[in-house]
Amino acid sequence: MSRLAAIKLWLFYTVCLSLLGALLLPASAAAQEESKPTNVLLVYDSLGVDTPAAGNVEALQQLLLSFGMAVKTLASDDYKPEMAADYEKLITVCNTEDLCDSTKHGAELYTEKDQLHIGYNPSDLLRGKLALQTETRTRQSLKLSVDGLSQDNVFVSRLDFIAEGKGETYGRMTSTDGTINGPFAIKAGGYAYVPYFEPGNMSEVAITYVLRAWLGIEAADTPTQAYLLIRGVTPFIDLNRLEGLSKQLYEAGIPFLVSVSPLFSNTDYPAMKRYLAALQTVQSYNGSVLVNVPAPTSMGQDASILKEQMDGFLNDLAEVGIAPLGMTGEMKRAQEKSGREAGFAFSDTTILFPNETAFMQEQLEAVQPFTSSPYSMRGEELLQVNRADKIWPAFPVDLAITFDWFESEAKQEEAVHSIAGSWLPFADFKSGEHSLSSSSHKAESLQGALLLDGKLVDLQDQSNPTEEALQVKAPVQKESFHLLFSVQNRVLIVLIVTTLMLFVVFLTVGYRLYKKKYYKSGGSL
Amino acid sequence: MNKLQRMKLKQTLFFLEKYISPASLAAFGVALILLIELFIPPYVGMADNGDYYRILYSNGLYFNVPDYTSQTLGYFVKTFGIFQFYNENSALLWSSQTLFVRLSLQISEWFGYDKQFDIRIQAALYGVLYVGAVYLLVKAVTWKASRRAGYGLAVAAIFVFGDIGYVAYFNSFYSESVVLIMLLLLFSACMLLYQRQYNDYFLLFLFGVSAIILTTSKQQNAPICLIVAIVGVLFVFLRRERIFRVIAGLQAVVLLLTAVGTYALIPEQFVNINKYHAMTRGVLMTTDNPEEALAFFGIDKQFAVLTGEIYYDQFSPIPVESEEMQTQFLDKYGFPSIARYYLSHPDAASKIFETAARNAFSNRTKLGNYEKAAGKSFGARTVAFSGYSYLKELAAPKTSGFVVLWMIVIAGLYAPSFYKAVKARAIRRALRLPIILMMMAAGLCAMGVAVIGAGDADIAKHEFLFAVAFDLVTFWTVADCVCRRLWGPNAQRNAGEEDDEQSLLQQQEGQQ
Repeated sequence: MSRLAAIKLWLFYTVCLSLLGALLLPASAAAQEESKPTNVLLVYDSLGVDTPAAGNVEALQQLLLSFGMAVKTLASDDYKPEMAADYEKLITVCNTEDLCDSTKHGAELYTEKDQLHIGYNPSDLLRGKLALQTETRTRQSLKLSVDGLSQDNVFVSRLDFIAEGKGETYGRMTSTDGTINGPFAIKAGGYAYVPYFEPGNMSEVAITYVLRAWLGIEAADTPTQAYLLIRGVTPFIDLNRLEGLSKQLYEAGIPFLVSVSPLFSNTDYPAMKRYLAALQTVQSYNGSVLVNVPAPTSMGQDASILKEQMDGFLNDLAEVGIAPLGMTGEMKRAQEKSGREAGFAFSDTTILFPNETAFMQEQLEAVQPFTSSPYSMRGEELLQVNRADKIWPAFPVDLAITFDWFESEAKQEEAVHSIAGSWLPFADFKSGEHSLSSSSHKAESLQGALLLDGKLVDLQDQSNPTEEALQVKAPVQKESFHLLFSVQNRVLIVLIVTTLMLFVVFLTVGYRLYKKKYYKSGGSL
Repeated sequence: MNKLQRMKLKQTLFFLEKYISPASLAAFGVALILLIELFIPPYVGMADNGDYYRILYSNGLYFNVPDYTSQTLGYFVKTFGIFQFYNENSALLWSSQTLFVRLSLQISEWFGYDKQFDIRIQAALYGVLYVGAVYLLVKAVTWKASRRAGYGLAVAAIFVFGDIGYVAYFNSFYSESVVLIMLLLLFSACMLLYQRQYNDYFLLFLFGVSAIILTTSKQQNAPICLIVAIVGVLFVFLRRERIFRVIAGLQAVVLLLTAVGTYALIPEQFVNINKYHAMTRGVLMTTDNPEEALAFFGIDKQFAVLTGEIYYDQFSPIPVESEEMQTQFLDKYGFPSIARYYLSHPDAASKIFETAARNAFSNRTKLGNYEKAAGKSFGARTVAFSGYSYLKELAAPKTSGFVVLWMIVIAGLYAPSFYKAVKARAIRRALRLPIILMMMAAGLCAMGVAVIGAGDADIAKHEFLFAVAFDLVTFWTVADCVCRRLWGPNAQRNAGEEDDEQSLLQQQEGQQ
């Protein structure tokens, strides 16, 4: 090859590589940009504790995380209008009519980015953008409907409903007396308004449609899924009933998840072995196991202890062939950084539940979403919803339809019956990609297969512990100087018996002597 | 000791006697320790173990320190907020301690501090009472003692009763401070009655009041009142006047009713914490087969995994306050069924008694003594004025055998004088042994109730009454030995019992 040809070849390679680089570099930067979650600022006036609206802020937080958003939640007292500049989207919630002036004022200043208002008093900006006219009604019984789903008799004490507006509408709300007839929500561009949202009824389903559209989430390649999740599985429930439930669901063709409480102490006890055996049975009946992170108690928690203890329990599960696929926990757990790192660090699949008690911690930074986080909704509430067709529409978000552990056999039967007859298309959690890593083991699921440390888990392999293993073994005490003490015991027994015999002899002799003396003295002593 | 030193010692004692009695010296010494420890920075007190809210909220106080929870167990907190609005918290816990907290609150308001309550006001109130109690105790202990013995005992009293293990309680909301003061007053009143040092009516009143306050300060003291009431019955025969006998008799009846009332007033929440520990840190820990023990109470065997757990654990498989825990576990047993379990399982009973004895000689808890602002580490405890606690913890043989032996020896020492007094039908002279027995039985009872009712959780605190009773009885016995009031030719005179005999004779002569 001549020198010229070599130079040409070199130049050709250089140009090719440069072109490839030019094509790839922006793409990877774009990919990075794409992988970064959208920041949403959620501002609320009050948590509405002890009102029907209680829990709606938490539900919104959960929903946003399920949609893959990073969310920062702020009380309107701490909110400054300039804060909104750091976020791509703003949601304002007004639960109490006379408390949301500052929120309203803040939202009006924030004109350039997307805004969604929920509740009373939408800002003038929003009114203008949506050509919104609202009317107030009190003490109404509503019918809420969206996408072929509806619920009657939703009672509201006060409501600003959409009388007129310009934009895309979602769902409908009508009152039984006919005074309310308007859309559930309205959206135009980046602006949207939802007049009413209370968790626990149809509005919780309806708002998922609005949020998805407002957040600009396109329909994914894979459709959204609904999962059945049984909450509150602890070592103290009737484990035979749990095994029975698993069998029932398996026979009904319903894949399910269980959220199990971890056990941190006395893990060598037969009670723990029975618990693990029951979870093995759950897994063998196509159930998937999620581990619940205990809620912080009033005594506070040391995050480092929690992480260590959770790791220990996850290893205990893996050692008997149970492959947990994710975590569950209360919303407040995800909000605090140290608690989240300690409890949820093992897996990026997490299902969050509403807090048991009202809780809102001041957040220093936005809560980051998990890779997979189906939105949890109570099964009893969802099953109350009426539908136009037998087949349920696809939900806008992945749903974990939850049922608390059933108090009695009868309630369990009733629930299984209604689940089986609901036509809800429950998906197998294992068909998605989930993984969980503890210090010694890794559990993962892929297209329906369950893997533990890279090996396929044999779902039929149940190590049914023998009755003997489930018996408490009395600790064997170490015996020292056994021989000496046994000799000592014998010596003491001999001594005591001899003393007793001597005592009897003396007593008899004494009695005789006394009798003799008595007779000799002629009956008087 | 050479002659010169002996002379100097005599001169010092003579000087002291001129200006200050042994009782005043002891009272002054304890007051000085209280002042140094509780009122001069760094202030010494006790951290909250999670129990404070019961007494606080029902008395119009609340936690106003923002990071209060994080200071629990580790740091002493001295200021609390005073409710400015209607307090809707019903009395979570009925206790005589309420009287002292309310009085301190009133004093705080008199001084113009009506927004924030400084616990040192309560410490001052307790301090005054405690100094008085120490004065009366040392007055009784040093009765007819020689100069040297008297001052020696006064110094010993400062060492024992000025110990930080005792006085730190005053800067806390624990009812142990009330138990301490009232037990000292009760014992002193009884002994002063025996010695006839003060007016009998006054002492009878002091005995009654201290017994009632002691009993109602803590629910676990209810059975102690029954024991005290028996000694109260003996007081009926101290004097012949009808009025005295009626008052003493009525007082004994009131004490009995107080015992019953205190037991009946136990609030639910209070029961649950101790109930939980009674099972998890008591029954389950003393058995080789927890599942079998649970079967005795009709509880599901799965609950065996709670062995050794505590109510305030950071993580629990199910929340301890949950309904499941209540219905499946806590509702299945109570104090009587646990007592029955121990009675039918002597092995477990001996183990729990052994655990109780092992912890009975510790005057100090593991709670922190300093404020966070003092810059000490979490849970740091002071070593100043803690000589007696350390000595006791180090030297006492912590076995149940020692407790039994201690009781036998002490009772044996006082038995001869009791026998003599009974033979001579001198009821007042015979009082010493019953009083000592009352204290020992009360201590033992407190120990039993503590372990049956709450297992080994927080045991040093629950057995506090035993610790005080042990110290009082041992101190009294040592004093009797030092002053030769137990044996020897002058024992009766040293104990002041001859005076009693003389007055008895005079009384009899007068009647003739």
